[in-house]
Amino acid sequence: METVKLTIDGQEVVAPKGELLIEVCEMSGIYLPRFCHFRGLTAQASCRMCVVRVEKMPKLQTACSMPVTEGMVVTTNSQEVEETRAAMIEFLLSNHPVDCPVCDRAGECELQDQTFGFGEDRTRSIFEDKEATLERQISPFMYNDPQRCVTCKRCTRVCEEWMDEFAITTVNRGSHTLISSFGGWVECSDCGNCVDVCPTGTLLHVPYKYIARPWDLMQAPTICNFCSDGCSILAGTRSEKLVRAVARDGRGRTGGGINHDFLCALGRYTVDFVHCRERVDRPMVRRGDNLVPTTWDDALAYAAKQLSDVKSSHGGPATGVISAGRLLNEDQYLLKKFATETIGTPNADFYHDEDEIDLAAFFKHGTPPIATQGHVQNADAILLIGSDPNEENPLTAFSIRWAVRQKSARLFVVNSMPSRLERQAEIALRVREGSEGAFIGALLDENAIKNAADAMSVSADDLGRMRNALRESGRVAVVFGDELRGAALEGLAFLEEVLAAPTAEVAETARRTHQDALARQVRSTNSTNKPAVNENPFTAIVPLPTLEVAAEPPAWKSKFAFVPLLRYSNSLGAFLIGMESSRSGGLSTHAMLNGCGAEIQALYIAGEDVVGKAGEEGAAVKLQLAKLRFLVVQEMFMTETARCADVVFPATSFAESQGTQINNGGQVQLVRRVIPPVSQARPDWMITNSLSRLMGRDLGFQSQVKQVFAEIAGRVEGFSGMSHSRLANEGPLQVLTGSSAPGGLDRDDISKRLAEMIAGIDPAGSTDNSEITAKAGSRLHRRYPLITRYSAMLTSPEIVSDGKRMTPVIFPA
Amino acid sequence: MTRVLTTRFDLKGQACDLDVYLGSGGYQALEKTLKEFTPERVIDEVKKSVLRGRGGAGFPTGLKWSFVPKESKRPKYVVCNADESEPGTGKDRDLMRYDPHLLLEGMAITAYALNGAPNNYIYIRGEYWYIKEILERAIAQANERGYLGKNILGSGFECNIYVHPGAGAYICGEETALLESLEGKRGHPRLKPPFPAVVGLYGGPTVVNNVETLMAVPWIILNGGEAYKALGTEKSGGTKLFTVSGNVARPGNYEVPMGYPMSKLIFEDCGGIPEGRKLKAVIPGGSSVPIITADEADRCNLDYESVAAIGSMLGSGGVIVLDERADIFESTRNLTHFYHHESCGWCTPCREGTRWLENVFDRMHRYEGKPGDIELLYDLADKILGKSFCPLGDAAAMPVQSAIDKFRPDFERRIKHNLVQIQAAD
Repeated sequence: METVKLTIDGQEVVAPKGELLIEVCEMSGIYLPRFCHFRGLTAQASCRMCVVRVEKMPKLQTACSMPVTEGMVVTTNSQEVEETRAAMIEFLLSNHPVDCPVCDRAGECELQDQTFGFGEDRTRSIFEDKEATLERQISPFMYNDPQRCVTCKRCTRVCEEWMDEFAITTVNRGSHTLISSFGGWVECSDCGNCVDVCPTGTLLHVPYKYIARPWDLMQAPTICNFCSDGCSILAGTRSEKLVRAVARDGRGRTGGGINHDFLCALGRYTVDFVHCRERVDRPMVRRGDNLVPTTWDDALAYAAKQLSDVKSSHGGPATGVISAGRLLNEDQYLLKKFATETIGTPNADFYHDEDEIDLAAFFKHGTPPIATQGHVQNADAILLIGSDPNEENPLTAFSIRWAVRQKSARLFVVNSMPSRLERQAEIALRVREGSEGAFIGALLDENAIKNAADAMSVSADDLGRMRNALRESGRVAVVFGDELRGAALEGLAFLEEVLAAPTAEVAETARRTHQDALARQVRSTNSTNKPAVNENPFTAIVPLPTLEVAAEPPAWKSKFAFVPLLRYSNSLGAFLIGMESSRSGGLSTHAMLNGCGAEIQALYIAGEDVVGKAGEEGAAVKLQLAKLRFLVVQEMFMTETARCADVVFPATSFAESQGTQINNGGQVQLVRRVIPPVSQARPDWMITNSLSRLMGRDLGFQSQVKQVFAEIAGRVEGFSGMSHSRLANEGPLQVLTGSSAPGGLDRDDISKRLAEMIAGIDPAGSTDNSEITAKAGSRLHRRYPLITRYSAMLTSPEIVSDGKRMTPVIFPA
Repeated sequence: MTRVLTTRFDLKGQACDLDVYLGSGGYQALEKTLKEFTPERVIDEVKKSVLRGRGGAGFPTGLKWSFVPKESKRPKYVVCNADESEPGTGKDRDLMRYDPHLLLEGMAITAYALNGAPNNYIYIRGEYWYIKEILERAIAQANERGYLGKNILGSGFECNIYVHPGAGAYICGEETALLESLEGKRGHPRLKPPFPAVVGLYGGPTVVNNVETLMAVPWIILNGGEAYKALGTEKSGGTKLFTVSGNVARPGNYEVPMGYPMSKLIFEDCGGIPEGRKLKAVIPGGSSVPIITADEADRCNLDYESVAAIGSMLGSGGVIVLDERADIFESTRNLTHFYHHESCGWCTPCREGTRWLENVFDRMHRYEGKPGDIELLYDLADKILGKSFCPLGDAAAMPVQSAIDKFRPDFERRIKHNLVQIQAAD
């Protein structure tokens, strides 16, 4: 990292070249007050709080718009600077309502904090008529009190730059400026980032309104359980109830994770499922048609006896163990160990559909290097195949956008569905439904371009250009969804060899050509073409090196790195632990369900609603389950599957369990327990442990989950050297540190299979050419079956069942 | 006296017609430029002329043009700032409605000087809708006859001009806010650096000049930069069109050479103050500059340096004359209301400060001023001055401070505890 030397308040400071003065001051321990400055957003310099005196410049300068240069002399603590800050605070307070007693933000309000730190304790403004406007709700999740606004415009910038939604904007002029949207009601994906970054109580979370005061709140960082990105959330609890989850609190504290200040609607607004009334609170046992509550001892004993009976009468393999993809590593490990040692069955699998990424295929030819969010943010080129990260992996979508915006990364999109990320793409190909795999065929073999283009119903020229661009790029992050299957998925491992890293000159020329093209691009926000990147000319001059100040970007060990957009928060963990049919050599989940009453006589289902997940085939699955001799379900809610069970064990949610999970970047992260178990629920691993002991096999763990992880670290490949305390102190640790290249013989086979696949694509298949990109959040209801009072607002269709309105629950599944 | 800008004013609008314009020597400068000048020479002549930006800032025009890089990846633009909104200024209105072709010619020459700017814009204030029509007709005529458009006069040089109306925002007269508005966004100013000459409209190098500045260019081409400079003073070349308003017998637009004595303009050209009243104050450069007393006006010459020397600014040259009946408190209150109304709301001091200023002024207007209010006004203005994002904040602050400095009794009258004494005296 190149550095410069400058002087701040008489002290010499060494700083990264090009870094903003405000960040450099903070790194040196001098906190400059600010409202409009926010790392990751374009510089604005409108609040005038961060003014400092820079030698040789006539007026006070804003530190947030000033990159440091060699020999700069800065004064931040003179009387002139202090008076100006106090004046700015006084200006802001002159129209600010005295709402602190009733404002949610009090106690963690940046305006309060900066007034105390830099303002004066008197006011000269005696207004008869402050511009009072009533507080109003402007979206299902946002309250807005316009009078509290300091017009820092963090919210509008976040919506434009991080989310690319432009849902919220400023209206009116001058001192009548308000934050609103045209029509008054904000139509957006409800990510809530705008509420988190707001320094005052202007934007507030609806579910959290009047629930707690910050000094009543205990906050602990944990990891979100909804998608495979693995964002950290700061979970706020009050009296041992989980009341909110945010990316950052009003003091700027975050969960310290890979997502920095970013979070999506799911991570933020759906935590109310934890305390919802529908949770299973006690163990239940079937008596006839009903499930009746009982004690843990009884339920465990009963289950143990029945499972032992099945084992002795039909043999070990007659029992299957199915886990949910969201269960933590420790839970998965216990289930696997239980299956192998206690039951003696190879039929252990985590629930995954045919239309999810088949990790076995992905890893078939070695271990392709996995990309973390940091890699995506620093890639030269990003290839997005299939999926829609805006919907399903919002942090990845954010990283892609960030890379394009801040680093001029080249984005290439191949998808059969409309996606908002196409707006940032250099080339976006909308392909025939189901033909994304053909793209891999074209990448691996130049001669296959024509056939692949036809199969995908795109032009061979565009396809060729994309292939060339990827060939000449230095570091490429390939982000892919479940549209890649079979040979296409396996073929990814061969990209490194076929589109090998270019020589330094080729890469440099390509980079220069691209920069040149960007420099020629006429920028306009209102053109009907997709808008160009980096609208604000100032961003072009000061690109942010990394999202974290003075952090080094991660190292790339190869040209390609992959982000498999897995469906569940711990799919990769389940796979690596061995809780997956191809790894354990047994039947897959669907095979087990099909074999109910035949090969499979008993099932132990942990955390998964197999009936609900089957959608329209749910009735058929139910019938299958009815054929079992015995069904044990450990669950949070009385799902359809739980209703079929003979024994239901209440399990904890992510907020009540401690453990680890692995995200789609191969990072192991610590999930912390933030509240004690609700009612009589117990952690999944503990239930399995107790069950095993009662069946006569002590799996070796007492009562501490870190013992489980210690054994994982000792026994499972990729986890060596890890421990809970290391994770707690050092942050995420990378699993799968090795990467191996595929063997040569396999490549011809892949090419052949790919050619067959391309030939087999139905030319009559349709292509979705719609302009309108899906409103973010519109497909959520397809993945998450049920909805709570608040999370109901995330999706539109009403859920009606049996003629009455359900109060169902959205929870990670 | 040599006239540069108002030579066709006597034609009372007939020069809007292309043939009349041509008949009175029009488009000769453009022809001369295309035939005899290189772009560098044009900039050189303009530098020698000491022509300075007539919109108010007075930045040397030739120097501004020279900041534009010769080669550019993005297209270059010439943008004419016709958003004349400075209170007291009405020169551009008459310039455009009496001699629109001169503006077009000036813009075309400027586009040539920048080494090629095919598409150029006139950002005209929305309230001048009727002048927009005049300009559009002139452009259409010029396009038709080959004085604008592709291949001007067979030279191969291309210059298109489009008129874009504003929608009633004074802030859009600030050059970067103008560019934002032209691009279709909210009219907020941009961070400088980068300056528009390097990164401007749609990211390309852009020269933003006032109407009057651009309309001086043809004369400079035809007569040389030295000759233009000789009309004025050493540091302020040429002539300027002043709008005189207020308590004078003959308000209007007057073209005078730089360095002309202000008292001569007011008392001779404009016929002095009616009914023999005495001069009290003058606002020399449009409302955004410090107000000056009658004594200071007496000693003042109309060029950038001289006005600065007596503590004010030449600005846009909107001379507002106030006689002894004027209540400077009320006039300043009027201005403060204007700045509050026009503040764009981007930065804290201007947005909140102008609001607060107006509030205090209103209180004092009702004779409910509290002791300390004058000091409060002065301090608020002090806290806006130099701390705002763009000069609008300064423009709001300077009139207040100068008015209190020089006409304090008018303010004292409004403080409540003084009222009794005033009423007793009256």
